[in-house]
Amino acid sequence: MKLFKLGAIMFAAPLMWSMLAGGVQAQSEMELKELQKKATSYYDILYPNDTLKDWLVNNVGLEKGAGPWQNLYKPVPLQMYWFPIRHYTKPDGVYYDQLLEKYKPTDCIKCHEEVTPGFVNDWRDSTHANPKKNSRFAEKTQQIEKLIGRELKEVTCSDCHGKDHKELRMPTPDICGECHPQQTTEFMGEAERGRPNHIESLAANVIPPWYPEMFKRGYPAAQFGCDLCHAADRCNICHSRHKFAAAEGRRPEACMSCHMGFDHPDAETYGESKMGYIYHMEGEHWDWEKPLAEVVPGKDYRTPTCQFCHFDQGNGTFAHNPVKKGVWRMGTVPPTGVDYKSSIKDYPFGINLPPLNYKLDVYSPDNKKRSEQWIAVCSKCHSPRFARLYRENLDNFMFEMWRLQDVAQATVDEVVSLDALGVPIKERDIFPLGDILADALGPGLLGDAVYKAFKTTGGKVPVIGPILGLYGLFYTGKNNPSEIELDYARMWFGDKLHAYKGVAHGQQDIAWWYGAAKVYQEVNRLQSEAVNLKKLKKLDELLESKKRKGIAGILGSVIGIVVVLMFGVAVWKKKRDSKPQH
Amino acid sequence: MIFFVLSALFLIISAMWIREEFNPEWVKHQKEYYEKQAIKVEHELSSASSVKEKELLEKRLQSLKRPIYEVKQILLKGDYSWAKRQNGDKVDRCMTCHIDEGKLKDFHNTRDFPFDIYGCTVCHGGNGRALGEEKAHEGIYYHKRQMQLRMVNADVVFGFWSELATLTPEESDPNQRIEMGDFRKYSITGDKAIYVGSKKCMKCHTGLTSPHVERWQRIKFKTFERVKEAPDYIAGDDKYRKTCLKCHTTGYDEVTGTYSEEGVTCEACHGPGEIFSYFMDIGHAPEGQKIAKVGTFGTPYNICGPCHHTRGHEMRLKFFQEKGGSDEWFFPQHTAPYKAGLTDSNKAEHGVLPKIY
Repeated sequence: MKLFKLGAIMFAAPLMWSMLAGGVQAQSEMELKELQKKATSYYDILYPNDTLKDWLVNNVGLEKGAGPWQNLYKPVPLQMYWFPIRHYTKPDGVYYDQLLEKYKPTDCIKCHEEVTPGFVNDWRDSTHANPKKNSRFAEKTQQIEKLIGRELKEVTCSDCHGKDHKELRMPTPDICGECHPQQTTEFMGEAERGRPNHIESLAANVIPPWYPEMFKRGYPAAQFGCDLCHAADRCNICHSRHKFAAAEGRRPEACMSCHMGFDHPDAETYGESKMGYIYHMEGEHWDWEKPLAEVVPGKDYRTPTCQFCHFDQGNGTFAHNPVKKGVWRMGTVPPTGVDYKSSIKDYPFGINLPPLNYKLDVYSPDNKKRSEQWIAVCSKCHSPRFARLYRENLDNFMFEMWRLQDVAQATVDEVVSLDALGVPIKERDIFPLGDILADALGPGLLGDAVYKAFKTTGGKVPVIGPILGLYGLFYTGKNNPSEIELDYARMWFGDKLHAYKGVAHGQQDIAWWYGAAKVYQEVNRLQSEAVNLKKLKKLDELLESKKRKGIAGILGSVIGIVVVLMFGVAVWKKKRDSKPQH
Repeated sequence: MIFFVLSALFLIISAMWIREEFNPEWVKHQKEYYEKQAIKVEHELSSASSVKEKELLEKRLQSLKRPIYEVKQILLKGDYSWAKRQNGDKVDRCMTCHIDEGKLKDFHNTRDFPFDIYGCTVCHGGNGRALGEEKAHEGIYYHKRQMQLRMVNADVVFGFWSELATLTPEESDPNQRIEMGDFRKYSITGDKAIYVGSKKCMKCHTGLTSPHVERWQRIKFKTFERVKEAPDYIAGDDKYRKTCLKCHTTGYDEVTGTYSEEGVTCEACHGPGEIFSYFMDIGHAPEGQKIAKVGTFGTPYNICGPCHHTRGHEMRLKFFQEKGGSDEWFFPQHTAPYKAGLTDSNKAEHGVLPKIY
């Protein structure tokens, strides 16, 4: 009897287990359906109202720009490829129509193998061409098949690009989301915290006023440099087309093409840190097909990659959302916790435009939680105490950098308040779009003080310091910005961020020699510049008064002579008048 | 001669002294504030439309134009002790100078600790009674960062918590004594302490206190997995879901509707682990131990009670009565053998999951 019971249990257990597993499967299927719904309405969720759609989503071809200044500039034609949802236009022409008549839409590959062999060969290497190439992918493909309700022998051109040339489209995340809902919804999660993130990179490009201003002045093509990185609202920025390999997206190089250089030297700092060098030495032997959640640090990866730290969402989960854990927001938003002496004290100056409308509270509960997550990430390889101390050191380092920026800002503040920028502010060029900024945005968004400043001066407002002060790096007007303003912008946006990334990614040389040391130097240089500018201003005033004295002397003597002459004439006249009486 | 000079000097000095006494530092701050307010109200008045509004604003302007300069203070609960070289009533006079309430509110999230009850010095330190800047700001913690740096040992945290406990108004029920432990969910900045997540606890405690942890891992506690499958949770609106989330997640915040972890994990009973894990991480384990002992010992019913009470699932009963469905969701432990006994064919017949949409 006992044996029978045992047998029954032994029999029932696997049955139950399999049913439970089935339950989990069913559950995740339902969840996936929900996610798919969310992912395919990507643009409706991210841009919920008509204004935002009108700014960034509705396709206007190349006739209009994007964002609030869309009527002030026209995109360069290349932008149709960077921002397809906004600007893509289908090719046209007589020859093209004839071609379409001759070939059927199903003949994509036949023709494109000749025209663009790269596309086709890439695709042939991809999992899309062979969705069940190994057991892992076969399982995933089955899940997708269930989700979309048809069998997938291969994912062909028409699945993403539309059924034929007449409705040809450039794939956007909502199209990827039909089959890859989880990844897309994870990516959508980036927008929750506002800029900086990948999704709003177009907004970050076209909402600042310098883009249209430079178009007005006849330099539209120069802005193209921003677009190559800022077209990040897509899946193929990391999983490059037409291979779309997950393995490629897991490698640091996927990030490095954009995350490098002046204001975010991530590639340099990570790549040249000890972690980066271990990756360079050993990375090619690692198994990049392994999902991040299954990676065992020290065994699979001997050193972290960008994704291994930044995609970590805590509790052993990973997601396509590198911004969720970010605390310092790329080092551009002034933190509370520094006793500012300069005008940063009043930041954001009443401006009510996100993301310019807040100061960063590094010790708020949310941010503390993020810091704890970071410590947990570092503790996968380091001791928790080391990790915590490193994290605290980064915070303290950033506070120091902000204190230095405060000194710099105070220096420039003083020069600005004396109007000693070389050329008087009234005679300089405007702030980008300064002439229409106040009317376009109104006091509600700009705040009373800023609105008034722009309104009364006609846009000739000196703007220095956090975020908007970097306009000088994107704009050139007559005598605006001046050298001291430029130096300051370069210091906080370039040098300070080099220092930040250097510390954060563990690259000591960039942290010091290309970062903090340069910040120190730049603060000193700003102070000397300020002394000179103030001297020049004094000199100007003295010369002005001397000139005034000279003019006054000439005027005085002229008046004196005239008076003497008139007096003489009067006396002479009186004498002549009195003569005939005698 | 010398006498005259000296007496003149004396007179001048006493005049200066009297002037200073009648014109203290804080009057300047108040003057500045009232002037600013007057300008603001004038601005509003010029754009006001209705008669009633105008009257009100005019009245305000009148009072602002002739302000009464006075020391403002909050009378706090408790006394200063002789040991602190102070005595008498506990007062915070910070708002005598920091008079702009709007500005204060912008900087503080005073949901949990309104400053008219708790004052300022409890978090910020300094000298609440003093009226000069130098004296009042002695040993002050300006920002959260400095408050955070204050946390060198457990006693500092205990001091902070017991200060909060003394300041809190008494409940009408004399049995409910407010204790230091009631505030252990607050970090030293006065914000809600954060939940670090069970993964972090598990790092050390899988080995250290294995029977306790094993039991937790083996049974129950993963209730949220069941909740997520429940038809009423799926069909319910946010308000309905809230009632589930409250007990079946860890670190649920009723105001924001967010939680730290699914299921009942370490911090659901032991409280948020921010301060404890901080001391453990930096290697001050004895301090961490002191923190851990506050609250969980001695008052276990307070911790289990909020969730484990009778009729906690009454809203579910109502839901199923209204919309129909099987009662198997009430007793999930009874359904498992029932499910296991079903074959695929009669599974389809009976329909294991009740459908409610």
